[in-house]
Amino acid sequence: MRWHRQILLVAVLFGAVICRAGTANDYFKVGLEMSGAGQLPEAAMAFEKSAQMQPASGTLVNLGIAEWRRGRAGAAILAWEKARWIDPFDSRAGADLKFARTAAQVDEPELKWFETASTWLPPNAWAWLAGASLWLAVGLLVLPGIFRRRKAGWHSPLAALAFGIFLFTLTANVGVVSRTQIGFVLKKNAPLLLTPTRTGEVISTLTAGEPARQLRSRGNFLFIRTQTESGWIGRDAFGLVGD
Amino acid sequence: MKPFTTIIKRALPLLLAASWRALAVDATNVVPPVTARDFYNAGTRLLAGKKYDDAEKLFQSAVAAQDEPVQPAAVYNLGHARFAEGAELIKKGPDAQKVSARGHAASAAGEQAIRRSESALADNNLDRMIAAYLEGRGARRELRDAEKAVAAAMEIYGKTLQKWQRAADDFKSAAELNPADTNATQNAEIVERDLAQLVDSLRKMQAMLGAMGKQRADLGKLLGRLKGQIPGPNAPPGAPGEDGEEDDNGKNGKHPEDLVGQKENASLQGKEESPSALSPDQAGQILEGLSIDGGRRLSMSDQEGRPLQPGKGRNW
Repeated sequence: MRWHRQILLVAVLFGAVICRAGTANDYFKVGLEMSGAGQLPEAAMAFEKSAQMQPASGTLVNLGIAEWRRGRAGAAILAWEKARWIDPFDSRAGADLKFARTAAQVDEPELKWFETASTWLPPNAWAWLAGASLWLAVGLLVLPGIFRRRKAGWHSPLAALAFGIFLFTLTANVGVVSRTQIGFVLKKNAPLLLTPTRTGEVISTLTAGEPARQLRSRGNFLFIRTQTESGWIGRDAFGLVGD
Repeated sequence: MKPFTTIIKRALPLLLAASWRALAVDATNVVPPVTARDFYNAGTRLLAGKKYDDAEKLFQSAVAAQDEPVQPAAVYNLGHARFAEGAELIKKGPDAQKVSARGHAASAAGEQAIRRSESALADNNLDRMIAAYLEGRGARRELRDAEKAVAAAMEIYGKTLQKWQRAADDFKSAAELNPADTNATQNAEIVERDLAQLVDSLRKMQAMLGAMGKQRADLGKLLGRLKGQIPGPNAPPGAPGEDGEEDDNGKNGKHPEDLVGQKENASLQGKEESPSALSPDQAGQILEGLSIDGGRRLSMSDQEGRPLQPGKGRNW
């Protein structure tokens, strides 16, 4: 009886995952059709829903293309950055970003060394690698003793290597966390305000697609630092890569 | 003895400089502001001393420091400083009443000159045409000067408008940052009322400027026609077809002295306000919103106007 319940639960969960994937795929297909028909706002909406249900770099690349074609450079750059976040090896996202930044005349975000290192692999991969390397090092050091086996000559060097990899993945994981605060200006000529208020004094206006780091938030405003200045921006005018 | 003299020579200026610096700091108690509170306190000192421009800069620095407890009060006082700056601009600027009255007088004189010119042209009477021509020139000159005066006043009002718009937004921001601050809301409403009056006045001035410009152009055309009708020997200064602005400056071979004995527009004789020019009611109507309104003051919060003393509640 107990086994039956467990099998049923697993079946339900599996079904839910399949349904979810099915819906995400449906939205993706709708997005492609709409994009082909030139209905770009609808296409962007469909791709966005698909990406929300099942984040995938391909969906995000298509979302970026739809946004770019409808003249929303900021949203397009954010979508392609998200695609690269999920899959750093996606060459289409990289090429699109390069083209968009040249056309919109905006810079790439400035990354610190550990953030640059974190872009070499997808964020999840760094977490898995950290876990695996740590357990490998611990296993190599502890398991021979537990199983009363003699330590081979390669055990210690391999454990040291695994521990070294673990230490490196720690910095990369810090980079991943730090990169979640990087975002992009979504709206054209978005005002950068001195105070987090609707009538705040405008320090300057930002270009769509300009990178910035979110430092803190208050109400409907985010305090961001661009490469040249800092100030408050409305939540609706700024999108984080890590969201 | 020589090394001792050298030491004295070198050390004495340094010693003197150090003591002067110490004295200066002690006398004025000026310490360069570093934190948001320092900027805020320095700003309130300047605001109390009516140095609004410098106070504005310091409050801006206090706000830009993004210190949450200080920011609402700093934004509030920033609004005060900007409002006061705008009021100062109006005070120091040209007297709006005089400018407006002058504009109306010039406009009335221009209207009269146009009527006389048209009438003289219709009658084809040489003496009347000469008289109308001379009167028209005077009226046109007066119109041009009045236009300049109104434009200068409009520039000042425009600057004040910008300051007050920003002040109203500052008060609104202060209220948004600290919803308990009812003074900020009240001040925003007061500034907006004054702003509405200012905008109204600016519109009236703009309308006056436009009307004067049109009148001057009309008068110019009529003067050209008059000049064409007057025969050579009787012709007033300026050749036909050259009745531009230069006419008034005596650049056409004739000087103002040549016109001695011939009467120009009355307004040029020192009578700035002709009886038909502007009624006191009209002038009052135009300038209704322009006074600084000394009777109505913005309410001051407990943080405004003077720096708080350390140890008495909040130390900023």
